[in-house]
Amino acid sequence: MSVLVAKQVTKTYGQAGIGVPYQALKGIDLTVNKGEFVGIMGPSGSGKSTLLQILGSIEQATTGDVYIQNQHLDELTDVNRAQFRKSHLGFIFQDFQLLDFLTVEENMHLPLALNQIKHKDSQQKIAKMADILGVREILKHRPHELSGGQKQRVAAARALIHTPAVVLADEPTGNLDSKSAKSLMQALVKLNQQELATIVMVTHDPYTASFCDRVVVIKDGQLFHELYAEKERSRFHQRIVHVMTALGGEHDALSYLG
Amino acid sequence: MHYRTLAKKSLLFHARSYLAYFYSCIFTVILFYLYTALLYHPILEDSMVSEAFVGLIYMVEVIIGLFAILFLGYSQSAFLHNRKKDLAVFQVLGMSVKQMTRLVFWENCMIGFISIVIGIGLSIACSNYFFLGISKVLRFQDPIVASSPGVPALVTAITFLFIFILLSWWSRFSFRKVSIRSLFHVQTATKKEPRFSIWLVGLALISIATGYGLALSSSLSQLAQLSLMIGVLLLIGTYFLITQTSVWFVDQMTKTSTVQERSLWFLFFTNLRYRLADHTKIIFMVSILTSIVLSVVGICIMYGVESERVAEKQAPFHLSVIDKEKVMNKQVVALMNKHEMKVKEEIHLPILTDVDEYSQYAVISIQSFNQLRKNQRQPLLQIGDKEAVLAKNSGIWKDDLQSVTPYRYQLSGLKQKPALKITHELTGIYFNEHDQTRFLLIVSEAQFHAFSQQVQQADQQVQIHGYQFNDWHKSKVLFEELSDQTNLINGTYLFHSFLLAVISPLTFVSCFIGALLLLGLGSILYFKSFTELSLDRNQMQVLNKMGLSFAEILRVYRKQISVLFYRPFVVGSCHAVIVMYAFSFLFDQTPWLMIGLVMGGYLILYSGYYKWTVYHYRKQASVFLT
Repeated sequence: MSVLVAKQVTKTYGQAGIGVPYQALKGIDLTVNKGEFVGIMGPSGSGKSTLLQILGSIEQATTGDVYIQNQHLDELTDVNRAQFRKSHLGFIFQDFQLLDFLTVEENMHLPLALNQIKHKDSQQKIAKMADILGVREILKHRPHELSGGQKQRVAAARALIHTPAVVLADEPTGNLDSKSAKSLMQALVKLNQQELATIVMVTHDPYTASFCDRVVVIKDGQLFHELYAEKERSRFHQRIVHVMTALGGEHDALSYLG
Repeated sequence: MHYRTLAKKSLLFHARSYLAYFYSCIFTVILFYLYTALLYHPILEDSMVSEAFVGLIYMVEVIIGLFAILFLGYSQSAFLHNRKKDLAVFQVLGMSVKQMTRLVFWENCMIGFISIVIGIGLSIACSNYFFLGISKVLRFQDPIVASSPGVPALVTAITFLFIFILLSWWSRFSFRKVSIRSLFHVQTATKKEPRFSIWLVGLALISIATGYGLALSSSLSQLAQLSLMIGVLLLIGTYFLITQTSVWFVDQMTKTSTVQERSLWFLFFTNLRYRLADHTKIIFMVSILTSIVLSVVGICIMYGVESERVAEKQAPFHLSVIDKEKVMNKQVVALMNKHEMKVKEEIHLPILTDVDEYSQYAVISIQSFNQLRKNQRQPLLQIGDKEAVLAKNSGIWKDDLQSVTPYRYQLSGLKQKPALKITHELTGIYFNEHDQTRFLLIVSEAQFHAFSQQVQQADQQVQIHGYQFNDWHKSKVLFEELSDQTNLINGTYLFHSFLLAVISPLTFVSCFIGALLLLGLGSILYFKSFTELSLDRNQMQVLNKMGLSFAEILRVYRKQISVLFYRPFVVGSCHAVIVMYAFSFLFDQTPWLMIGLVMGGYLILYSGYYKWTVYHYRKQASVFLT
């Protein structure tokens, strides 16, 4: 069952007559099924972050349609869009974006409070999520007392705690060392598999992308390639590396993909 | 988690940056309450309190209210700007603008409620001292006692509640400017740096020079007319001078080898260049506020303290009488003997007034006028037989003698209506200012005698009497008794009383408003430093990693804060000195010592705020670096 559908999405920056218009996206089609873990890759300026913002209802597409759980995003008013984000979407950012004045537990509690979840249920959800992401020990800590890896796991917990339809992650391992990155990705996979969380993640790191079920590669605002996970993650990783190398100019490398 | 809880946690977390705001809120509430208590006091119904004073109190109340809206509004927008990241996270989590407005409302309510309670409590506790001050200003023998605090407390609470609700509602416009996009890993727009332009420097210099020139060369009457123009010229000049000199100076400094060789100075100037656009706006605003506070408070204090000197200059005769029936001198002498007033010098001169009582021109002979000049220790005047000199005898004009293009003035009160050829105009104080002595036409002795023969009515020939006592302070009783007999009297004591009646309430009020503005602008600079601290955090950590010690890093940022504080003080002081100088022409000599004391006092208070800001900044910064 598809949770997210994007049809012929384009995005042009700059108005006609004012400067040179820049087309960031040139007709992207993307369908994400429930419980799928999709990675979006591409070189800098390829439009992957723009696409994520459009999918997250933060930017509006110039043309094309985006549906999340059959809701057309363009049909939402400002108030409804906020309401929709609150209940249907979760976000993970590269810079964590935790609220410094709240403890870890309170940061996790905030989306539940905004969705008016009862206290008892909230406590259960926080405990469960803390266990999955391994943050139970630091629940009473403040964000500035945590390491980067811990902060990102808390951010992931906050994004997933209210069981949104889609979690959108923007370079979640960008500020982490390789050990923390691996630990975070394993936690996300666990959530994806155990809780059937649908995750769309932008990354430029092939290793991070190798944890996904599917990787969509974008170049110059257009779909360039699509890769599906294999039983062996290391092989999937290698294929992603080859695509990215091909994107860097060595087009012969594509022949390897067959 | 309710909005209340979220607001409470946010307030506690940002407590240090809210501190100055909180104190300023309390002080604003205190001032508002005290003036409201005065407005609702039964004493105002008493006829002893002048309407002008009541009007002044209403004006102060409005100023405090407006200040509260502007200051609290500015502070709120600074806080929201500082918390842009938090607000973007709220939005991404699905909070609507309405919900965020509710959150800010709870924050405002919490700060507002505590400020209102503490402010009103402190006001009630110190209202007796306030009323004691008012009693002194209004010269009441029995001090005013504070009335019931119920109504003023209610009015203050409702007013500030309204202001906080208004500002919470207003905050929604700030939320719309906050973009969630800033949370994503995309490049952000770089700050537009101001550029140096020789044309703008020229414009700034011309504006300031013209403004200063007009202020220094104008008399009181001209100053009143030109004040708006001078103000606009100084505003334009100050803005461009601050921006342009900053750009030029910082640019030059970063290029010099001495700066480039010294890491701390290099960091200081490059940092200054990075924040130039933000800094210049705030330096301009604080400069203007500083010059307003210093000028108004300075002028009031200057005139308050030096009121006796001003009175002696403006009313050189301790008692002067315009004697139409030529009987007053005897009565005055009798009164002086009765009260044992010792006369040091006296003068009795004839003048001719117009038959039209609305005409302010009177004729005086050169011999009589020279007696006045002699009394003032000024060189004697000489005029030709057919000439006349117009003496404008008032403090609103500076002491001056200038030749004018000769013009004719026809004396209407004489039978033949002769026309006088006026060749010179003289301005300054020669005799106490009366309606009959404000414009004196000085003519030759022969002409004066000729005109004396032509008067239409006998009472046009008037005698003016001037007396100087050993101690004019004792002359109060003379004025009290003489005022029953004639209203054509003036003197040093009367002028001094008039001056005090005007200056004392103004000084009292301006000191309060000055303190309020000083606190406000100090708080603005305090917020600015803290807003930048959160931005400086990363830079500080990078510098620390590069091997700079905590003390060295702080030295760079402390220098930056000192520029933020002291540059507007220097600019504001320059304007204030010119304004005080322009307003000091009622004195014999410019009271530089008094001007220096006012500036010094202000500088001490201002430096106290600077020290406090640096202390808290240091404390907060140490959290990141240790």
